[in-house]
Amino acid sequence: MSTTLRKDAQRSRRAILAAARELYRDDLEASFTEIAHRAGVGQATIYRHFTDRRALLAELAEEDMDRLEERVASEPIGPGSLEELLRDLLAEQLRAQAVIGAMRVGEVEESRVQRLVERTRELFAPRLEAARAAGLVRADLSLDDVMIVLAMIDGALASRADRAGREEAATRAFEIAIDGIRSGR
Amino acid sequence: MNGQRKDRARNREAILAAAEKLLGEDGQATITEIALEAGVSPATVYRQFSDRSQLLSTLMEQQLEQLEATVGSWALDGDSFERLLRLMAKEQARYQGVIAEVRRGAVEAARIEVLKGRTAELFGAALAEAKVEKTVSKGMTTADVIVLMRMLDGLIAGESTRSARERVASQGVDILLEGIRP
Repeated sequence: MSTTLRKDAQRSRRAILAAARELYRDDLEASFTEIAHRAGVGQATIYRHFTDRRALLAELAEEDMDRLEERVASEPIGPGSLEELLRDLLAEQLRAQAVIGAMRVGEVEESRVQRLVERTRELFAPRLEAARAAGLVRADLSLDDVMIVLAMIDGALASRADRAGREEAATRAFEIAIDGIRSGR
Repeated sequence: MNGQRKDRARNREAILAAAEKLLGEDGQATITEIALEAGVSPATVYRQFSDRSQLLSTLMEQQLEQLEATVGSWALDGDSFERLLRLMAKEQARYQGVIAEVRRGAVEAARIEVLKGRTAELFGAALAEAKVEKTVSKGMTTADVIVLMRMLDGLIAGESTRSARERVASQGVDILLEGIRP
């Protein structure tokens, strides 16, 4: 393949991903035809890059993770980094609701979801350590606990169909997870 | 007539027990499979429940009634809210299949709203008592109870066996009670 061709391929791949991201914002109803149209490429081109919707969704989720990792890596790890990352992820869950929803119902290959979970854990591990060392979180809070919190916030968010409702439920879930139900501690 | 009514009641009970067993686990069972398990014909099931959606919501109502009866027998104190939350988490783990169907929209939204209202009410008195006894933070509301249910649901949905669901639900409740902060 010549360099120009490769560049063309890269450009259309980027355009397809951008179009899919936009059309998938609220739901996953957009067809490959619509995505191709929005991206300004032919039907055949989109299938050349992505065999099916599962492949496209996985790619979108991985791109999101790449971006999150990059952003997070540029900031030094401090005691407050854990809560910041939780907030970042909450915003991410709200923004990419449709794609995350697809992962939830098994529309993305299990091995690729598993890899995303591992990457999430890797992001949290040193930040949890720092927060624990500074006494900002309970000394017995584990990485598994953090993952449980993420799944619970996702549960609250998934329960609402409208964007405002999702935000309200997820924000409250986040507060409860941080502060706890019990009082007088 | 009396005998017929008794038969009808017995069938209804058998159908609900079969539905609870089959739908509770994964929510996928058909009316035919439920009829087979109950030892009745599909037509008998349809005579009592117009469709799957009605069967599902009847199961949820039945579960809620049992919880209401249980809580009604308690002498409420400062720990009742936590006890009820743990009981509810366990029920959610047991009823995962039915809840998954509700999540997929298999039950009418209006009936879900009624159930949500009753769930919030179920927790109401225990929550009020817990706030008086200062075992639960002042800011907790009955609307938060629904958020808590959904949070636990999100957690439970990821597990494929009942024992794993119960374990993770219990871990979730522990975290929710304490919060992340020290």
